[in-house]
Amino acid sequence: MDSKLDPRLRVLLDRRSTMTTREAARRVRVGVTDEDSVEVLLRTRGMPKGALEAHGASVHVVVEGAESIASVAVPASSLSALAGEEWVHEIEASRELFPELDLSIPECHANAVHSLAPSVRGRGVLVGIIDAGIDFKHKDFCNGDGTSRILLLWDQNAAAVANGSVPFGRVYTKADLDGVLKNKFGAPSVPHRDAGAHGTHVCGIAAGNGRAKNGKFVGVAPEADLLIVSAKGDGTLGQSNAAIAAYSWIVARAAELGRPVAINQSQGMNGGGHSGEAALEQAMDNLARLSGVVIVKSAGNEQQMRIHASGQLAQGQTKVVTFESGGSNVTDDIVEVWHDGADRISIAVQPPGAPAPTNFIAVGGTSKTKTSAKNEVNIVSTDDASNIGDVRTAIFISKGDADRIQPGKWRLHLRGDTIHGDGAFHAWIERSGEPRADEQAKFTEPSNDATISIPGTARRIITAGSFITRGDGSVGQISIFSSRGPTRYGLMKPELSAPGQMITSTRSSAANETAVPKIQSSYASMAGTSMAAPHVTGAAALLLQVNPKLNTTQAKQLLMRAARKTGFAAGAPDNTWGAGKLDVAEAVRLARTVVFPTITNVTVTGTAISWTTNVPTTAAVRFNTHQRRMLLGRSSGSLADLTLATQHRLDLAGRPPGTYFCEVLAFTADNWETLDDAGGRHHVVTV
Amino acid sequence: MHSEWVHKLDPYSRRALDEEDRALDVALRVEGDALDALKAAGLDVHSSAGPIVTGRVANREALARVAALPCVAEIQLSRPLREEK
Repeated sequence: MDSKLDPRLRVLLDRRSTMTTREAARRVRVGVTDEDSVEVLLRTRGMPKGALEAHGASVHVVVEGAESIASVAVPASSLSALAGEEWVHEIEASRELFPELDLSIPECHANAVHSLAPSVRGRGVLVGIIDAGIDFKHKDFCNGDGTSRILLLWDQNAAAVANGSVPFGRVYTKADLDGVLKNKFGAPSVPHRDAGAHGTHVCGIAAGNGRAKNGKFVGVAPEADLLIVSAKGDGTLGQSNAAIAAYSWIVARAAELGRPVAINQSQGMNGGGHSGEAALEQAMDNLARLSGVVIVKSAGNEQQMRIHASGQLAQGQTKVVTFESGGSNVTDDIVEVWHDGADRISIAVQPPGAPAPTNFIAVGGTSKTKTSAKNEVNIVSTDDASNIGDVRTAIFISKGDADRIQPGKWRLHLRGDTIHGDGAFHAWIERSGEPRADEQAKFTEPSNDATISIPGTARRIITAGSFITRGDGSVGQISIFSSRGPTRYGLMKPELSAPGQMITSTRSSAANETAVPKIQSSYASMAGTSMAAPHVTGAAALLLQVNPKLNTTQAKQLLMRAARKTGFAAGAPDNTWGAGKLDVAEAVRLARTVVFPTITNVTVTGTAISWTTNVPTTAAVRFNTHQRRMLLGRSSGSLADLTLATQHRLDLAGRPPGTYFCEVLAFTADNWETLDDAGGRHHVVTV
Repeated sequence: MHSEWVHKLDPYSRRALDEEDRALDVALRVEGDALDALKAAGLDVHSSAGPIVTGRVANREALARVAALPCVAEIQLSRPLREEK
């Protein structure tokens, strides 16, 4: 009966005696849905009702005909028995040309909600994409009548128009885009292109409707409308300032339209404190508080890039942190060192081959020196950086009067002058990016933890890691590049992980054929957490269709609670996977029923805080005497009341004297959470 | 050589003080209603999200005027974000 099995399935079955089904499937490039089930296509005639299910199969779709084709996931152990059924003519491992073979959508169970009655496909919701551009002519971003699904496109790089509505660039309306798409006489030209193809690909994952190939490659929220910002920058770059403007603009336009919005950003940088203090992160956190706004960011691809090092100093101790410079002649090597302001750590730099380091620069100091190789070393130390009580020291190494930065091992000497805190320090190397990615400086003794790219360390947003559904590595495993948490303040990141490796999505027609090869003429494959994030963004859009009032924190809870902790993610939650693997169907199911508690009447009386909730909850107060740290989620203490009730009172009496900045938390019996920090101003208690 | 407002600058904007004078895109963390004062000091405001305001100053002189405002708590220079594919 195995003659009905295609050769790859036969090899797979043979190999199962020496390896797992998942590994055997990976080697012969057969899709798997869990540890034992493989994706197959059946050619069948006269199949009895329920017969596939009797073999343990999960049916995706059956295309009826004289000879029907069924797309199913079936346990590998059932393949031979299934092949023995007389109504089965052939069993074929699924291939890329079949509709369900874009693995990531079934993997995250998005197709299950697409086919619900009524369907959940993002209708009425906006998806906002902040990226390097979009191919607005791509059919996947058009409606059935050929009009655009893009309601507004802000091209931040376009020449400004007189009396424009934006501070730079220009906005094209749906009417402008429709004019081009319909070749309307007199319609304004829209010269926007996406030469890099990144933005087009990202948007297709979140919201492509698959029209270019009759639904073969459908995104997570295919009926959402789109707000696009083509970010100011140069090619693959965006700018943090322009991103802030983009977020504000998208949220404002969504509010004008009266519709909820899920926003995706798949860009990042390494320089910063990784504690959510960057202005971009603060802006995102502010907007993430709003009802009907969900913000998603890629975790970054830095896990193996050797961009983070950390250590601990005792009083008077000196440690050396070494990094290898690629010897750029284009951009600076930039290293940032962060530590608690209770510790005073001086820093010096020793260039390759130099017998001794430069002079030590104390906290708050600056220096600019020339090396013997005529490079320039500029150290800038900032005390109380971003008013979070930490010290930030940036080391800029530029080519100076030489033709390039001296390649080789550069040594940072860190000396613990006064250690009143824990003596811990962290260092990050800024990304070099194109055109000198191969010249990226790297630590010789790195830590792969705390490699989430900024602004992914923002406290309130959702940060997405990547796992494998196709491509190098074991299917179902975390992608080797996927950045890991936590934040420097110990918050778990990413929040969850989604498919991000060799994802087939929309391809910009303006892309270079060699750099971005075509698949099915209108699609292309890309890998990165850039591809994972829009899966989550699309999922957020579906949640907003079910409950348009959700804010980012609530959507985050739903997605994290729904996340699957199966296979390689069995150890979740952790700082690799976050809560686990994205499960859209389960998150949508939860969104239909969950009631988040509301906190009202928060009152401070003496040293006590009291409040009311709409449903019985347990309670907690988290506090810190340092307000900015509390804002970023770093508390110095907490109180709890584990009695389920609608009225709570917690008293900070007995704490050391001081001003305490407090946030109030309520947890339902099912552990759904609401946090009230007076809109970031905090409830202030004086002891 | 710089006044006390220099501590409000992040390392990138602080470094820019020593480089060729040019227009700078900056993000500010402000306290209270600051927009009018920022504009008057020379910030071409691009956006605001809560206490975060972005915009452009024409040169170092304008940066100094903006940084010296009591309502300005911090200034961060705009920096490149790179795609994560």
